[in-house]
Amino acid sequence: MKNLIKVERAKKDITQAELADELKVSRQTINSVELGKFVPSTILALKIAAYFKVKFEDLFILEDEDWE
Amino acid sequence: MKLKFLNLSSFGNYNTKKLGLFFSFAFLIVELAIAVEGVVNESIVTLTNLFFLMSLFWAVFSKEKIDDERFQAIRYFTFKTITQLFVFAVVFDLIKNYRIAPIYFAIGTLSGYLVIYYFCVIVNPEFIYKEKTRVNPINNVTLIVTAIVLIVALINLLASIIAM
Repeated sequence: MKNLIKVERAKKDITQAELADELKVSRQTINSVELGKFVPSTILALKIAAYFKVKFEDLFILEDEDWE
Repeated sequence: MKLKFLNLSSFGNYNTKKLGLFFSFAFLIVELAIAVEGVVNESIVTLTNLFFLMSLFWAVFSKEKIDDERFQAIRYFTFKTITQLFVFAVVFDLIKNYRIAPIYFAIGTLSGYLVIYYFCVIVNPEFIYKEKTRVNPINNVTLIVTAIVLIVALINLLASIIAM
């Protein structure tokens, strides 16, 4: 699953640390999610989408391998 | 269903972890000093082992400052891995008949946990978060451990046959 967190973060001009503070998670977690290493829980994914005021499916996009 | 996170309510707070790590390091130095100098007094060795174990227990069974889902996923992976290694160590001890004292198994397990846990926290390898249990019913670690146990058992069996 890929995501557009980095793009949304750039639009809002906030750092990973600032986003992490807002969402009460560690900076490394945001970094791992951004890089696509770590797939966040539904709750965290919805929190991120709500923070950026975008639709969930516009922020997180399923890839072909996710269906395997 | 995947069990990816591990968040036990019995975990201590972050201060307990810091204390545990500090004392673990201190008692590790004492253990090394005893190993270098040789056993002076048996009761000192026993006490050091007990305090070392207690410190490790604090460090292992405590939460992070921000105990989010990534740390929980790493914790779950580490517990899973160290359990597999513990079983392997017990079997290896049984086969080789080393008769290692249980307290050293406990110290080794908790120390190993800390090493694997902090390695994963720092390096953050991707495979921790990707569990494909349906694709691979028997994972690589299980196969490797089984193969090693079988090889050791076979060597042991052959050695005992030759000795007869």
